[in-house]
Amino acid sequence: MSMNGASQTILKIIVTIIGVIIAASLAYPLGFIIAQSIIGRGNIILTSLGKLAEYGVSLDSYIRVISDRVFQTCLLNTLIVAVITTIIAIFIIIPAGYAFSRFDFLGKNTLLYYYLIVSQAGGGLGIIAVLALYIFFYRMTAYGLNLMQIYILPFVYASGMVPFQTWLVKSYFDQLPRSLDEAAFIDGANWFEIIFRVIFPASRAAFIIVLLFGFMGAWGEFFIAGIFNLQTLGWYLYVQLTGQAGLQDPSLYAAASILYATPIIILFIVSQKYIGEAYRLGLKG
Amino acid sequence: MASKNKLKILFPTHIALLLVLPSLILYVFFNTWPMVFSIGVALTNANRYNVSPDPAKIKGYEEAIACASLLKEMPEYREKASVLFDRLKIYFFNLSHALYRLNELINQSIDISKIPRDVIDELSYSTSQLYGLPGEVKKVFNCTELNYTTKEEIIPVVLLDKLDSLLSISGTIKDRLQYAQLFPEEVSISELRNLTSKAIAILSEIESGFSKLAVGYDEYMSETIERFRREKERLELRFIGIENFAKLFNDARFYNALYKTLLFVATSVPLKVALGVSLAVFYSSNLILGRKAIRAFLLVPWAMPFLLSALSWRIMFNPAGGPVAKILGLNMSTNEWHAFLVYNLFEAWLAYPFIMTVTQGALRGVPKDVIEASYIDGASIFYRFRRIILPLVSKPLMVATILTTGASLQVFLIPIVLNGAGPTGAICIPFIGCTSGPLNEMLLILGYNKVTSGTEGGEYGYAAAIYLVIVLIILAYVAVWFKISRRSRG
Repeated sequence: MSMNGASQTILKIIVTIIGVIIAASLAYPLGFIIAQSIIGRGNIILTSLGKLAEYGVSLDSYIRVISDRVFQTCLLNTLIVAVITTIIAIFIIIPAGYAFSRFDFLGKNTLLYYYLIVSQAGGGLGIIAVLALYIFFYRMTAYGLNLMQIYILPFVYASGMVPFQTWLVKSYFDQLPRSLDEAAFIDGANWFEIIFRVIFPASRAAFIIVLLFGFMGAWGEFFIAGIFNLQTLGWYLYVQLTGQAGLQDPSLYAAASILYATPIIILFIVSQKYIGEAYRLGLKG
Repeated sequence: MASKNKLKILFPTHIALLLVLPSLILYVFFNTWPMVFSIGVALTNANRYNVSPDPAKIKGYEEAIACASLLKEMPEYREKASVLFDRLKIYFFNLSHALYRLNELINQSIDISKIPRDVIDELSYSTSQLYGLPGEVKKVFNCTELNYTTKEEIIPVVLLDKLDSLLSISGTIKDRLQYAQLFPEEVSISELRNLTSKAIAILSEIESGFSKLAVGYDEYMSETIERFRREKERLELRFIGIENFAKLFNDARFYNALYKTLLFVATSVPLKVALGVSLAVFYSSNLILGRKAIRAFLLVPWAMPFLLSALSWRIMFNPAGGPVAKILGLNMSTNEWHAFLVYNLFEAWLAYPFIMTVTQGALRGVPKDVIEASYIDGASIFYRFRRIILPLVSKPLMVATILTTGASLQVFLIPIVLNGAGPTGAICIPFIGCTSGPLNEMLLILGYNKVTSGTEGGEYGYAAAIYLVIVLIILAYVAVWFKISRRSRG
């Protein structure tokens, strides 16, 4: 190599500085929204860092959000929906993924193929399914059956997670040796025992993946709730920030959105290695 | 053979079904079934009014039609009506005579207390003649009495309402006049003048309304029957075959959506792949200190929930004071292509972590010194990139590109959240025609708008036709993707 040590070091420093600048500018939207949420005067758009110095920094927006009744109600709704979604996903998807991995039954491969297409083809099919579901629910009201209630959301969310997560769980069990759970079946265990004594104990990592994805998916979702006009936190924020209120009081909704996003960001960081694993499993499938 | 038997015994099919069935039921009910249902919907004229109508309302219209036909055809009822109209004519004449006399006196500004007794008597008499009238009119045109159960009124409701208000006004005038006989100071002349001229105006409207009815009785009844028939039809779900699809292929907005969507694929896919690959290559260099930390930091768009990112971008690019909009001179709300550019930037920002992660994974297979050499030997960076790095990452990158193409093809939330797919303007397509709509409406957004948005919302049949076509487009994409991935595997 023709270069000497000193110039190599200078080059390293220059490239590193460029690298940091690029990374920082890509993270600008996050920095911007945080700065917007802590500016001392809530009703202006933050146009430069100078403004932050001019109006000062305050947590006033956060305090206003937390003491807002609607925000509290929506937060509770969202928490309930996310928890129930997660529970449904765990109890329904993990056994199915296990069955796809271990058992042999008619239509298994067709179904897996179908799940693969649906989960990899993009979000369009899901959106269409929800719009169709809305029309179906609307039709049902003609028979006096109003299904557009908050308790329907976890089922809709969990059903949307079925194709991708079934693949994930199946791929996970494919990696585990069969001999571990074969023994349990020799005794002729029933369904309940199979789930609690065989499947769940063997599926710790799958359990965590389904739990994280289920919770994050349900918490972050806002559009399906919007189509059914249900007050989850995501939908409430979306309506506020795309309407007049968002323009009049950007800092308030910036703070609200950051509070809303915090659990997801934390879960994302915690689950980094599982998400990498999940994408690996998903792509392999 | 033996292992196959063992599999059957240890893992019996009925248990498999037991394990799979709950998820399958959930999935079929909430995803597959609505799609199948919407194939049916696409062949109907479904909309907000007829998808879930009140059966009692439809029945009401049917009964009202039958009732109106009876009133129109039966000589007996026609006779009754004409007698009523004649009487009305006389009553109206009496009242208007009294009102005009009073009006004249008031305009002469005579002392209220000196208004002659007989004027007051005439007014109160002609008003009292009218008291029973709304009931009588309703009785002659009463469908319930003819054994039809309907809430619809055959006589124009406006006319009956006006009659009611006329009665209350002339009643008030009468009361004020009688009161003025006792306490002249407490009744103002201008109040009386206002009331009287108001009463005269309403009366002339009612008179002309009823005389029109009397003269054009047949015509009015036919119109009424037609009106009820239209109302009823609006509430009825009908099979209309492929009419919705025909409409779709003549809708300028559909072609605009198709064009904008394909254009978005063509611009955003190269942008995000280029961004993701260059970031992966750049940050794999040994020359960057602490690159592991920086790379983790680069996943910010992935970690942020979509809504938070959307809010941030929305404010950043807000034409009224958003800092980035100001720097770049972009106005999303008036310029169609500015908005389109922002969608591209946002999509690239959202998707680069995916491309970057996939490329990084592939780059791990490339010997480190090869990459490093390609940096230090500046003259041939491009050559080395093309000859050494690209071939090594091409396969996983191909899969990632295909997947991200699907995301662009199905772009939905980005335009909606940033500016509602706007701005709104005239959409003209050669050979098809012009219409107005959101200029940056993508395919899925078109279907969504037809389902939900306020003024045009609830064209469910049409919306279902639109998204069945979108499903076909997505399936075509999947077919291409399978073909490519099979070729690259084989």
